Amino acid sequence: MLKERLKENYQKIIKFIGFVVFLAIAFRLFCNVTYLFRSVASMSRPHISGMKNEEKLDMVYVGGSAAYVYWQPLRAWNDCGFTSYNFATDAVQAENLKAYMKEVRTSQDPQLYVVDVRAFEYYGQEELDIREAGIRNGTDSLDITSPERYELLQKYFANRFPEEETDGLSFYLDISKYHTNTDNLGVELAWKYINNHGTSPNKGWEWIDSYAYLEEPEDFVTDERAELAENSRDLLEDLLAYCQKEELKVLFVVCPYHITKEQYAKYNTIGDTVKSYGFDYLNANDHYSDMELDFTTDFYNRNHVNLYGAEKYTAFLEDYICSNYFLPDHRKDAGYDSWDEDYQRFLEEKKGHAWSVRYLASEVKRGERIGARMRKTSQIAGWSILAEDERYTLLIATNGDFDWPNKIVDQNILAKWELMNGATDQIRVVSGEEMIYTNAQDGKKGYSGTLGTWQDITFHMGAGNNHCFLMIDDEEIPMGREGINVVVFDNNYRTIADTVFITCEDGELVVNR
Amino acid sequence: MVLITAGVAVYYILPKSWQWVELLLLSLIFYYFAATPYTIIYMVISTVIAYISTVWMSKLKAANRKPGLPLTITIAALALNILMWFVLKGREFWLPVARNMSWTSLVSMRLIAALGMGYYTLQVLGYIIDNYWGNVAPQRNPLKLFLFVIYFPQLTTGPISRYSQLETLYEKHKFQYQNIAFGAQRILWGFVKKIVLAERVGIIVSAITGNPELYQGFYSWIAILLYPLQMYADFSGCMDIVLGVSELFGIKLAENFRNPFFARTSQEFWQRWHITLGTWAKDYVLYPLLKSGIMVKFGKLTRKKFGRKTGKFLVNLVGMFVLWMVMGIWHGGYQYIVGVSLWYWVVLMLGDLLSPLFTKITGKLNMKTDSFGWHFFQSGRTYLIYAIGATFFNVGISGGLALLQDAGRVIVEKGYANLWIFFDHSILNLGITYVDINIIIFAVILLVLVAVLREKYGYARTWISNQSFLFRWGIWLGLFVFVLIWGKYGPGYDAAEFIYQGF
Repeated sequence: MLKERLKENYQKIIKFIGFVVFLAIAFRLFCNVTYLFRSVASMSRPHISGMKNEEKLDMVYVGGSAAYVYWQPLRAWNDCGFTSYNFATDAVQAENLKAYMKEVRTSQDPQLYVVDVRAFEYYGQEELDIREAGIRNGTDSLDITSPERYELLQKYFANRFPEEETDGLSFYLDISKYHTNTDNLGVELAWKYINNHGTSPNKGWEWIDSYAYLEEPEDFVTDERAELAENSRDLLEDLLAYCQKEELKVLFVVCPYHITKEQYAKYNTIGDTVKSYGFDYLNANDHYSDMELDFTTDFYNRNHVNLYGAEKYTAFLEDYICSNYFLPDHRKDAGYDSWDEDYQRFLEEKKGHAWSVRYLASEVKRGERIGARMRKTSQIAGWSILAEDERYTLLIATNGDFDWPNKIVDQNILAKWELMNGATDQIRVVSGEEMIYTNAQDGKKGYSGTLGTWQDITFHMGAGNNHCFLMIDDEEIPMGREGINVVVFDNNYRTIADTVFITCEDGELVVNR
Repeated sequence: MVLITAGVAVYYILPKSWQWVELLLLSLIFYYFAATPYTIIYMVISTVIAYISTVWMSKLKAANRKPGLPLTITIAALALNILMWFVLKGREFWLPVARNMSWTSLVSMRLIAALGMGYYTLQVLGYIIDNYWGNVAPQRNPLKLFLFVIYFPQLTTGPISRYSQLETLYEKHKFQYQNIAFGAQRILWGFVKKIVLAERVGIIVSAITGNPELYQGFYSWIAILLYPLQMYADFSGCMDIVLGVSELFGIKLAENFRNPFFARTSQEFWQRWHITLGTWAKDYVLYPLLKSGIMVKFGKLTRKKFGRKTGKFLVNLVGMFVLWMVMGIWHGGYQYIVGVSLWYWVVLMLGDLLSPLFTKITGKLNMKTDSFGWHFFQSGRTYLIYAIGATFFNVGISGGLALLQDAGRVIVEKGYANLWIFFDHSILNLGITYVDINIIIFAVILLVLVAVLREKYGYARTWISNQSFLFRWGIWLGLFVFVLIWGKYGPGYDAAEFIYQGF
């Protein structure tokens, strides 16, 4: 009977199976095309997709750049013998963290999670495009079929109320955003990603060849508790509740950076919440001396350590983990040879990157010598060559009229600053060969801008009625003498390198202090 | 797409007698998201007018009372619908009058028409007239009649369906694999036309027409000649999506295009382009007009005065003028009256008048009028004629005149022909790349291939469905990936916007 019915419906069954197979192939193609067209320049993508290559991890560090430029899994392997990985993406958002932990659990069962909580502190302070990038770094790296991806997006859209013109569909089906990346068709790496399988040979660690001079933050430690944004608090509690329910071992950390008192107060609140759920909390900003962290050498910007800082942080955190969590030591276990090989390659790579960072640091340091020479120089030609270094920003204001020099060399110097003969109250902001501002066109008597490597120091300068002035971060800098007043600001050291006024005597420019 | 997928799944699970209710609900949901929701009131009013007038008429006819009243009811119902359309969509026609008369409250009023008002109004008018003529019986269920008016796949861009064609809406539809497969295939092909071809060609056309002072000479020719292609790919692509979506529900809508660029005469072109509008205008405007007492009298008079042939021509001249004016006015602006109505009226009438002369000339010159070359020439000529009219459609009357004038200078003015733009890469300034140009060429080849298959086998997909499964799957999966990669969609694009949805 059944046989007869099957025979009767044979064509229909074949058609149905064909239909299902066709849909499956179409969906597979859709996924492949999506992965092929996603950005290959993303630093985050290999961290997420590279996890698939890992066999057994003892620890996973979940977070953002505060994970992947801080924690060196291969160094920890060599020092302590446990395997770890940074499941971390750039500009990570608070919404991402729980989704990342869930995603990690689909392929790994680590004994310890380390979660970077910085995203809860800066929640809501980022610009819209950074926020979108932060989400996309995760969702545009995860598999299309990952349920965590959809959960994360749902949460993001529910919390952040994106602007009306935001194309929500392009978050869910990112091919609609990236299909214009047709150049990827000619990129070998893009084709390697066709199944969304990437590789992160350094286990989610990234080399950043950069350096910045910083001074250690002061007076930031406080007992105060600052309120978190409502959504941020909810997301943190949601994450903690999840970890508690799943009985996960989690260490919540704040890694060292140029922290402020206000930020520290927020971390106090985060720490209290974390502890109230029975989890460990470690603010590494309380341990600069334990780490022997030197802000003048160990950072590449206010928010991130360079590789020297990372080594110190990794050493500090691995000690903490070894003494508190007793992760296994696999160094003598069979099947972990590749970790040793990876570590050796990591050391080789490190040589080049360490050299680059040292070189950049020495370049910044050279500024001290240039500044010292500049301050000793009274000849305009020599002085101007030193002052025109790209590390400096020249804040120039003329006070009243000034005599125009006769010497061509001197005239050329003024011409480079676009100062004009006979014009009064001229304002110029120059950095290297770039004219940042001139009031030659708009004739304005004042100008406000920012200085420093991170453009975070405000200044206001003005010229008019035989008077010129300069305020840097609300501090008045003397600038009122007759002639051409020039303040040389060192962007690396974020300080004034030299203050001069240039006059014309006997047809020649003279540098006066 | 989500709405449609979910809608189709539910449609075939539901008891068959509830299927039309689901279609009505889907249409309401679609309207809510696609239009200004409150404007649905205009559709409701149109439906109420159509319902009351047709039911009333049918009662009068059944009772055989007051024989003149059905006509009065019909005229009143038609007038009310036309008035509503005129106030809301024919703003361009009455606004200058209102300004002259200083009707400030009317001028400043912000009137938003219902979505697809031009399309559903014609459907409603046709329904009322068909009822008056006794071609169809009135629909006694107002909700079912409302579904005829608001049926969502065709709401924004047509086709303009007859009630007799859409009665299938209320029938029970069994799940048929072929409907799903053919519907989905047609939607996919619609996307190829719309988001791969039309959007790309649109970039070129818009760049030129948007900067006429910058792009002159052969650029004007490019814009003139490419706009019909853009419009066809856009409008017919939209139709493929509409017809495909409807087919998923087992409801086959009327075709609106049949390879128009294969037409050898302008007359034939209009039998292949926007077919449902053309046939609507013929059935409800031209034929009733020609049969009307006044036109019959006019015909007799002209035949008597100018002879049989000229008399017939003059009747045709007046009839066609009215027909084309109705088509132009329906589009809702003077540019359409010039680009659609006047231009085509003149071209068709001249064609009618001079056709014996042309036949004579080709005969004398011993031209092989049955050859491919001659057919190709005729199709090219028809395309060019359409392109000239469409220029007004695209950039308005003054813009169209300027563009055509500039294109004319290429022919008549020495040294004006800037042929080098095809070779010095300056075409790339129009916002496209060589990859885009290659994709346009490839898509046009596909278009021609499909058109040839359609002429030969009815539908290209019918031919494809008879091929081996590997070949079939290769074609559909290939097209899917082609659209996925080279479609113009995503942030910055609105794939749901079609040239013909404004009417």
